[in-house]
Amino acid sequence: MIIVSVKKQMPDFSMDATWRAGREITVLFGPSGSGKTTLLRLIAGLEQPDEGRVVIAGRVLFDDQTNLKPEQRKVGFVFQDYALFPWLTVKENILFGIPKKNRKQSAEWMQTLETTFQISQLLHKHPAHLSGGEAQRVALVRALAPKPELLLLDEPFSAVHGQLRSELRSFIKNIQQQWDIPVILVTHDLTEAHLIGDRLVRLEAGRVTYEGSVDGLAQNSSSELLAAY
Amino acid sequence: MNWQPLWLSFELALVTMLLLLVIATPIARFLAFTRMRGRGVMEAVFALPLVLPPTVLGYFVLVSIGSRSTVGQWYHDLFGTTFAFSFEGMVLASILYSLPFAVQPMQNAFEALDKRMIEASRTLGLNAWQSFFRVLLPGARVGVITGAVLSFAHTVGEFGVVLMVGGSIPGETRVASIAIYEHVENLEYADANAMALVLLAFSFIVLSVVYHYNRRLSRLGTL
Repeated sequence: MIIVSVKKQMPDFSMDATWRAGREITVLFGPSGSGKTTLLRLIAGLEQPDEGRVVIAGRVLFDDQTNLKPEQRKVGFVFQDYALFPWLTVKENILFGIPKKNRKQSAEWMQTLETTFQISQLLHKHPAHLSGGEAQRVALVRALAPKPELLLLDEPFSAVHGQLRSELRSFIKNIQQQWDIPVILVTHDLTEAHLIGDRLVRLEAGRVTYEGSVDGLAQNSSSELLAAY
Repeated sequence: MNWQPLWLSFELALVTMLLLLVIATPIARFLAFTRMRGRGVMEAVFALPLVLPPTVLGYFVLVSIGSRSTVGQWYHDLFGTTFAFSFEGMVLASILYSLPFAVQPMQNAFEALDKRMIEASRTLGLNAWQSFFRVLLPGARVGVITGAVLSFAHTVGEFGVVLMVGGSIPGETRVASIAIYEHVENLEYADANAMALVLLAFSFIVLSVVYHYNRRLSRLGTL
């Protein structure tokens, strides 16, 4: 179980959001500027809430006594523009988060990742030579390589279209099911939210205005509101 | 031709460059990321040697480390020799003189680096120090290398500062630029020509290598 209850005051925005998620794909959905990415960053420890609690499977990441650093949180983060290291090859990017002292184990683990995600043909390329879809896949594998307890995806579909988008959706669903890892995914696209999400949290101006099943949203929202997204 | 002034110039430049790598990198990182008030003032202080006449900078250093100064007396008590008119004194002056040439390319490269790469490294398990060495430095290595090479080349070519602080003691402080000046003063044009040509060729080769290397790294997306 993931519990997120955070408050943060910024110069032109305030966040006061409380919600829960399970070992499933939770979609954080809302219009631009509603605080979706900020919420992911607060969970990952890249920004600090003014107060609140962030708990993953009973492990407190943040409360009034605890504030784990990002490197201590075991939270994988895939950024909207991937943030791959351009001076490293794909293989080096993926191995980046695996401690070097476990070289033998990491070689075996790399082999598993190669087979699972079918990235063998990309391993020796640099990020500059990857397509958008390939870079997205590599960013996902890199975030998963250190075996995180939670995976955060910031607008993963924004740079891919058509068939690639559908493939990426299946890819993320497969990862979640095979690895049994909770995934929190940000999107402003309601169709994507319906197609990939098990659970949906709607965020508006830093507040949670809906939390529940994806299908339940339609019953809770006016058609005008949904059309606005 | 007496090669000693040339070797001394390169030795001075190498020591200055290595020390500047250690000193300028954290300064550049601080200036690139700080949100403190007064950042502009700090940047102006570090950039001062760019506009200050070398003799003025040399004069300030000389007064600060001369035998009557606190630093000079402390140095004398510790090592039994003067700080001014020594190789070590020239190193100090060269560091101050070449500081902006090292800091500014590094700072520009740090500022241009995508901050999400640093954040990504933190979520992948690196602490702030590991992230500095494994992401910030490699990501900004074109700027770091450019800063190092520029400070090296700038130190080889300095004249006014080293003349003020080091004088012209053969084998100790008489570097190539001062030796060339003295050769010309003594109408020894053959020696002046030879030394000047060596410096010209050296500068050209260094800059060519840097530009070539920077272009290759830029293709990989490093700054």
